[in-house]
Amino acid sequence: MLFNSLSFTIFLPIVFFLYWFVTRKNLKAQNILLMVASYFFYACWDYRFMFLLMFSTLLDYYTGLKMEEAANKKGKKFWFWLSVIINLGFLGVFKYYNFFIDSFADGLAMLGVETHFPSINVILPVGISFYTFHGLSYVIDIYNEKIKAEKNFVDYALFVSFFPLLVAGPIERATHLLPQIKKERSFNYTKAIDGLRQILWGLFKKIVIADSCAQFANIIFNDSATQSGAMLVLGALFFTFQIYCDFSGYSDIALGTARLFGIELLRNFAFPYFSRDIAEFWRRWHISLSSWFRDYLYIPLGGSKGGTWQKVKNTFIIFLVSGFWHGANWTFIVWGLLNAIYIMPSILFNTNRNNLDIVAQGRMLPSLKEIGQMMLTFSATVLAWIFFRAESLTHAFQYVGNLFKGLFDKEAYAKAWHYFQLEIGWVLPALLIFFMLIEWLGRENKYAIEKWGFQFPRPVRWAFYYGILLIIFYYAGLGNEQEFIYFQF
Amino acid sequence: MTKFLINFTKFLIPFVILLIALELYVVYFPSTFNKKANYLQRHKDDIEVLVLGSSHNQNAINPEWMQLNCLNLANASQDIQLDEALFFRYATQLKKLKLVIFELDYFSLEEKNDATNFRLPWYKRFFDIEPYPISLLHKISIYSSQPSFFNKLLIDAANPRKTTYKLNQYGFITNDFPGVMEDLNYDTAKLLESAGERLHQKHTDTSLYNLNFNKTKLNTMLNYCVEKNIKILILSSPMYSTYVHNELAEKKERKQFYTDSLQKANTAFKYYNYETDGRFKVNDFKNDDHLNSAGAEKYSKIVDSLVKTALSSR
Repeated sequence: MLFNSLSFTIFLPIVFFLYWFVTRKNLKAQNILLMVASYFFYACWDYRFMFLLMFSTLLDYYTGLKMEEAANKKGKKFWFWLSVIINLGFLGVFKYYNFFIDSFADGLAMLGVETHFPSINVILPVGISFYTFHGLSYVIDIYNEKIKAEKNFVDYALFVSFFPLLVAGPIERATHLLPQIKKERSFNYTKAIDGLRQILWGLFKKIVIADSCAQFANIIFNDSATQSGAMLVLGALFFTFQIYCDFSGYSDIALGTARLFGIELLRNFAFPYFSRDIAEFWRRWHISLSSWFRDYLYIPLGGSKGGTWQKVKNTFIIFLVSGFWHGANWTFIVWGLLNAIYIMPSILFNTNRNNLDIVAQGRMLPSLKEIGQMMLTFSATVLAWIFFRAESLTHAFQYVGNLFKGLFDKEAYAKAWHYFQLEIGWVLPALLIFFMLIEWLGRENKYAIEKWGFQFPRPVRWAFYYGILLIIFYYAGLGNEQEFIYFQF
Repeated sequence: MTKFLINFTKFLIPFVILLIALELYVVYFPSTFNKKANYLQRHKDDIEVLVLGSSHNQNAINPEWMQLNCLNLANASQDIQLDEALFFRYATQLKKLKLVIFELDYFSLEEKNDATNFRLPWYKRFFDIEPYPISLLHKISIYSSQPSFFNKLLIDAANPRKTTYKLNQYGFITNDFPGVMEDLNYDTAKLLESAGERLHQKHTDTSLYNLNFNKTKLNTMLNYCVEKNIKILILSSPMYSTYVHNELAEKKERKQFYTDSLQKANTAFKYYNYETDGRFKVNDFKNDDHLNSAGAEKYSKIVDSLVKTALSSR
């Protein structure tokens, strides 16, 4: 069940109604309802994988309790590692087994040894990377005695499976979400309206911007060998907007939906394309994953303690692991590596915390220096996304090679212009400009339209929302509906 | 909560009204489907000639030029399966039906729609046929069957520079839409030069499964007509030379074999092939495989004389 589908528009009001009208006065019943709804939501993709989710939940719930009950450190360690190994084992089998087998066979082939290892033919369970990381953070926190093990199974199961975040995050922490699940929730008008507003903006990002950009990004990437440099630049730009609007749109819908049920999820995006350096970009992009890696990998590895070499080593490790988390393909690893390289200067010169504030805070326009910084960061990101989107490393290098080779070909620009006029037209660029403008104006808020038009009377505000809704409605009707990119991770 | 529900409902009301308005517009605004359905309901007892087929026949036979009371039920992308469903839904109700015109064009036998055809809900709504199961939503809302199609239609309707459909009482489109012939100024050299690019994916499907499926469906209708003493005309409508040159020889042969065997099997099965008829020039076409209104007038008159001949041999 996609957030941008008709079935979700039926599912959500039903759950909302039952939650606030039928189970309102009973927290236990509310949590059971949300858990059942979440499993139903998940089963709509493939009911068979629901059992994997159940197993993973039971495993972490049980090992969590056992860790707490353990009489000594050794026992605690045993249950901890059992949970970690089984969790990562599932992830390894479903997501990485074929990759490792193929890479190993390729490596041996390069040494002249021909081998054949059996590969498995299995669909990647939706959201496995996300709920595995939920579970892992929970058992790691118990092991580190940051939290107590959850005794109530329903509450724990809801923490793992809460439908807004189940398939593509944000990756929640037990310390943040579990207390909210355990606390009585009362309906808050302002928060509910805010939730609806964020859902609206998320749908706009996904249906209007991401899916429209996807059409052209797909055409150009799928036929990149024959495209000119100018067209390849266009393709990379379209994908850059597609991935941002797709994933942050999903996160907006998730956060808004959760807010309708009185639950606040972690913020996942903070206008990353307005970043002035790569370090800032990574503080603003997929925040819940970046902070997960920071807390559960970077810091345990020693973080920035121990000198420059340690910092460099740990930075490379988290970027490589982060790349690998996204998918079993060398393209993601190179994407991670590229980002690690990008961030190196700021690590080496200790400037990675230079831009902690919001760009041009309190001002309408950025300075020339800030414009330059943002453009440079944005360009580096666009280049990295090519690796993220490419089918293989060969494809990615060929794309980048042709892009730079054809960058000064005047005729190619004329052709790209012709394509632009004929196929793309002016509507999508106008929408992109409108979108970026709204994002810029709203960059000091949690999401772009959080406080849009508060100074205007209701009819003006509503006219704006209707406008957005109509554009969404029009684009939804075009039938270009695409799955959210991050479902595959 | 009450405040939330009231305000949310208030916010949604204009949107719901818009959706209802869209649905009503789509259902009641004159379209080929509702015009034909209305004509059918009003003239059930008078219809003597029934035309089936795809957009080829839809654009080629204008009932206005026929002397007998004629209903052209051909529609865009209508395959033989849909022809059959329509035929058997109404054949018994058309008390005066004397003759049926079947379309048997180059592509007819080997192509077939599947359950994803976005027009299927329209057939359910306007003609009460359902060759594939249709979802409840699509049964309730025609607009939901293909919002992009209707959105475009609505935007075009609101654009004074766009040509909109003009339909006669039979649901036949009487005004000429810009097509490739007009776009290229009826320049035969240019038309020939660009034909490859234009037609390389046109009606290229070949399928023996579809061939057998469609033959069975067509034979069922033909046999019913013979049984009920309803005359039959099987026609291949005129095509521009570029389309004919693009045809696959084997596919043509399979069709030829079928039409030959049909005529051998029963003299009631009259097949006429106008595909390469020299009377149709470039100015008679909208595009490579569709006649324009002038071409339709010419062809309808030819068909009318065929109808007369066929009925006179009664």
